[in-house]
Amino acid sequence: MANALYGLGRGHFLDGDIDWAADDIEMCFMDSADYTLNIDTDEDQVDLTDAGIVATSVTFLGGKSSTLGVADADDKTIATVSGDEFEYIVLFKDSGTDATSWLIACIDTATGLPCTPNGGDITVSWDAGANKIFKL
Amino acid sequence: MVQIYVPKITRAVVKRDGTDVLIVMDNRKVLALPWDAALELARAITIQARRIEEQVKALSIVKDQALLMRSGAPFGLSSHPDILAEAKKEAIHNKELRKAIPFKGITSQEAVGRPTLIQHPPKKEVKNNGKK
Repeated sequence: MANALYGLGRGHFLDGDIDWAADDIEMCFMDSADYTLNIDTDEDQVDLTDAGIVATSVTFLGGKSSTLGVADADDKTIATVSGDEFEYIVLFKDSGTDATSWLIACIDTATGLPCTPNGGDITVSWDAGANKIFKL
Repeated sequence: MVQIYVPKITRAVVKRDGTDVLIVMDNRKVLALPWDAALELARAITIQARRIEEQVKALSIVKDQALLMRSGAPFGLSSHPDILAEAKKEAIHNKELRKAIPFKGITSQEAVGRPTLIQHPPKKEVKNNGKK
């Protein structure tokens, strides 16, 4: 699979449930051995199995922008990551409730993926090209 | 409304007489109109005739419209809501049409960027060996 937006997440954008600039957006690293990706049926944080989550950003993405439908944000660092090798970077809206924290995008193609954590910080530097994080 | 009773027409001719338009039926002048009024009348006749044509050819319009809908062409052959509704049904349920033009859905134009992960070395523990 290539980097993609969750199908139901796209629906939540259209339904006005996700406001990229205003909502709290988080990122997590997922282990494909414990999380089976279903890009068209996975909807919310409940679908991210606890065992599959290697690390979560905890703090929200900063410096977000949505000019011309292109989502961008400041690079994000997750501190002291350890655990299983991870294959996915998942972006989701954090509403405070798992069942309404909509999944947005799953990235499985990135320089440095898959990644085996060494206990150090991991910074995700977003694409500087035209699509930035993603483009609707 | 002006009504013209014509029992049986075998020949109708439209011709001009100065600035007037004449309608002659069976060698009898039945209508003489100034050119601008004739234009208005012609438009009104055309509109009514097209409405009738739409009704008479409704079935074939439905089939053609269904074909366009099925192929994703973004225009309509009729603005009549009943014809459009019927065409929509045809586009969705006609088995032959469905086989001939399978619906592939609307392909998303989304694009997701390709980020770079930078893994930093773990922080070394600072040992103070009991020194303060």
